[in-house]
Amino acid sequence: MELLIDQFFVAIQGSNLLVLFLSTVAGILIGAIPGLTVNMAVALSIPLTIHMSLAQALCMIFAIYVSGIYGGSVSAILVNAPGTPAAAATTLDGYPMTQQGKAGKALKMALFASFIGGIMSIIILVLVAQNLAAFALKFGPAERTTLMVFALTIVGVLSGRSMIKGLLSGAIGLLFATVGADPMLAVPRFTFGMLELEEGFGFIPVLIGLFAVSEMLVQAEDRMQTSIKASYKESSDREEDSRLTRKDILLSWKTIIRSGFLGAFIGCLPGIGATVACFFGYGEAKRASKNPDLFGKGTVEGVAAAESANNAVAGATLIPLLALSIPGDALTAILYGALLIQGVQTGPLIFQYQLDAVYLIYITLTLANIFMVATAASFMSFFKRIAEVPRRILFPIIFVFCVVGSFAMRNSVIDIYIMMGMGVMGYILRKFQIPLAPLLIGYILANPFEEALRQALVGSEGSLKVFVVKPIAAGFLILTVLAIVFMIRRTLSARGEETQGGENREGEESEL
Amino acid sequence: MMDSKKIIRFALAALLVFGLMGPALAAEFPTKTIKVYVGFSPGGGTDIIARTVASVAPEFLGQAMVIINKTGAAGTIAAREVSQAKPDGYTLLVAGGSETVSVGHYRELPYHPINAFSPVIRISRDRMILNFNANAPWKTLKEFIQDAKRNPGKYKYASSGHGGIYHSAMLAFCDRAGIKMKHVPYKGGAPGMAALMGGHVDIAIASPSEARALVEGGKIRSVTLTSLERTPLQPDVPTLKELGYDLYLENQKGFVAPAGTPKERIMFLHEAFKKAYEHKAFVKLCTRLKIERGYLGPEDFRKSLMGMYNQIGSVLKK
Amino acid sequence: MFRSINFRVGIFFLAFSLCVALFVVPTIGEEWRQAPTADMEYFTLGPRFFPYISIGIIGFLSVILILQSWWQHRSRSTPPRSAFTRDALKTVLTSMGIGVAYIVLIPVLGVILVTPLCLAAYFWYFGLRRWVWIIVVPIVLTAFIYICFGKFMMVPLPMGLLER
Repeated sequence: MELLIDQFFVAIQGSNLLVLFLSTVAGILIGAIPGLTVNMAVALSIPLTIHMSLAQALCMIFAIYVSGIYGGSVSAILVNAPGTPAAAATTLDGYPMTQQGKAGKALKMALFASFIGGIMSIIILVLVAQNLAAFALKFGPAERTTLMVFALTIVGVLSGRSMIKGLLSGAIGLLFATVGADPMLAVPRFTFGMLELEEGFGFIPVLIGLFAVSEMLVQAEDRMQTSIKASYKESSDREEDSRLTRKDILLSWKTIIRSGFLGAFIGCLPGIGATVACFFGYGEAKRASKNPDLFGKGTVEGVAAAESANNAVAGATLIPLLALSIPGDALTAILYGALLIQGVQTGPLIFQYQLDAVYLIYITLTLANIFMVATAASFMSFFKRIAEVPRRILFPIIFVFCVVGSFAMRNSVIDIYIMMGMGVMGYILRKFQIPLAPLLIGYILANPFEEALRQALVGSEGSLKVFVVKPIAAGFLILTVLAIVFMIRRTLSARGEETQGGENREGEESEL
Repeated sequence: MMDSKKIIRFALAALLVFGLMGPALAAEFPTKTIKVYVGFSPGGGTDIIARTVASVAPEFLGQAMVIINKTGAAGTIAAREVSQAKPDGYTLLVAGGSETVSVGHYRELPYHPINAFSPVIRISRDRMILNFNANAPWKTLKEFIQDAKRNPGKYKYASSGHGGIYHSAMLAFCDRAGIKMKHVPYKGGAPGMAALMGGHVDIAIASPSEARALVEGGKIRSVTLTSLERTPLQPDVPTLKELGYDLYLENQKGFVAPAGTPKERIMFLHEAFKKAYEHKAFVKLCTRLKIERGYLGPEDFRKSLMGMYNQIGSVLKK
Repeated sequence: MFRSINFRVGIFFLAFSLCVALFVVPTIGEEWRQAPTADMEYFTLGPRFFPYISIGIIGFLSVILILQSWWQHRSRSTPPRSAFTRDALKTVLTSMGIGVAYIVLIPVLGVILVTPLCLAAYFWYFGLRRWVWIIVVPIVLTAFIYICFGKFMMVPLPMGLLER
């Protein structure tokens, strides 16, 4: 305890707080600009940390990380261009809210949910890091496969009015994800001899293309003569729409807590990541919600679900890193290097020999969350005004940033072409009323799913029995079956209602 | 304290000196930033080596170094880029691992992994170390090999990807030991270590810097390494050579330039990097980052790369 | 029936999945089966498995979509929706065109030269005529991008003609 208090005073020295503040501002901006990602920023800050104290280095890295994830949601909400992959699910409800003139509310809910999610994951990290790390190790290929199968049912949840088209979109996502070297034998698929395509389409170009670029094309239809808000028929200017009311919080607190736990759970499994977490949180929120039909049309609950989940990942990814010295994603790999430079060796012994460093990590991560809230809150009025900028000014600027950002991901021109191609395709799919969110989920889940499935089958020599004998794997399979049954029942009952009162819904496409 | 006249005189002198030196320097090498391509993402082992060198070397180069991460296809995209760059010494690659000695044996590459480059200096030698789960039934490697001989194809090993240098090392090990194992490729070394700790594979091959913390923490046991001498990071682990298997493979990292770069420029870069390599700050960083320094000059580096390339080739051609 | 969106979508994706399955997937190499490494015999699923599965799903779903639109056509007449007007199509295609021209020119002329042109083109096309928008803002933004990406994040932006 004494050590904890000592470390607290180490952490709150003036210079550290200055570093925290500056990094938070930088993090929010980097996160908000599509293409400038948190990973790049943190990697670039590593050489700076060589000359810093441990506390300063941690302040800098965590502040960029935590506020960067929030920053990604700002552009996701305001212009449908997720600034970081982790904010992909935030667009689904955040952007419709902006169109309805509720940008302020959405941004504040995102901030609130991010903060709660972040703090929850820190609590989990502090209390059960070692137990959870041991649990995460149980997730071998078989368990991961079934987890991914379960995650794929979210495609159905997010399909909207036409289940068939939603599933179709998800399958297109799966197919796109097979472009590149196959995860087991590195055989190039659909690359036509281009080495650049071996890594696949890359997540950022696909994401930016599908969402931001296709949005620009949709907006171009009326030559963008007004602002986003004014272009939307049902937009409102009521004062309460830019505030976070008690009603909103009462509506979403359960969602926030649930998503926080889900995010922390996904975060502690190495190699799955914040993007999957935010869709998981979103999908489960929709499944559990009393009014699932509002999801995707601008409900504050949807924003809360996605944001709480992706920020909860931040603390949880530290669990395998600290307890087992296993960096679960690119960012924790960078953090691992930064800690080594400071002479901190992660791994099972860190809790015995370098407890001061562990405490410092807890404290700086908490401080980073607090600074994120304080700084973002003061930026709020500036952010809100972006929704009022005329679209004809806003969208060309966003487009240019998308292009340069896609290039910056891997310093490769091909990524720009991929982004543009995805944008045009996304636009066409939208014109054919095919939802894009399932495509993205399929795209994200396909590679980890294929990898785990084939790894599991190598181990079992082709026998599918592994998925049933292992208790965790079997559990996820049962959950999957339940989810599908639940989904079928809901569509059937929805259809029943429709046939009763269906006369006045002439012309509406209502399919399974 | 200097008076103002002195300061002015000093400034004038300095101006004069630099003014005269400017054109003279411009005729020499290097006159602009040196680009260093890294085939792996920021924060990875290869990238860290490039960045630690870049934090020290500009002092001796007289020019800045900029690190360009061109990731993908096991480092081969960056390697191809550099192999096609102008051989003027301003474009370098951090090479020596999978993209140089291993991947070329599994598939066609748009460059010759060794001959397309002109080595400058070897900076580090990252060993490859074989690990058991701490609770594995085998006490020594010998016991494991005997067991595996009786049960061909029963045991699994994790590597960081198909065709990578770790995969090749495991294939070579199986070949020398006369055993058969299943290969489970993971994305990178860390997930493989997690699989080993979780008991999903029986052997995971990794670098000592990844393994050491887990060995000390009692989660895994390191049994051997594919090298000729022991590593200072884990001095009690015997080498395969000591155990009677002739295998020498290391994940080396160093700088290479495109083939055809003028000799003087290579030598200039070599001298500058060597000074950086011996610099106190660099040594200290390496100790902290658990990078095993391993200097080799241009010719020795080439020989070493060639040796490993051929060794892997001989195993795969069987 | 033939004019309903779902029917067209179904037909398109059916054709697409057939094409991919018949002509594109077979381009994935099968050499791995004869690969020299000793451990291949334990791989049960090849690299073609996953593409085939996803194409299978796409094809299956598009058949359902076609059947569905046929069935709906019989049960009640769905009026065909005109997706959008010709005018809208024109502006969308022009916006696409400017975007494509931009990305094609980047490797040739470099980000610094093309970005202001692209921004100015968009602003002009969408009806901004004042010189502030056509000249000043594009240049300021390009400078911002250059500092932000090129200097601050050290991204080696393609310089095209300005390459040293």
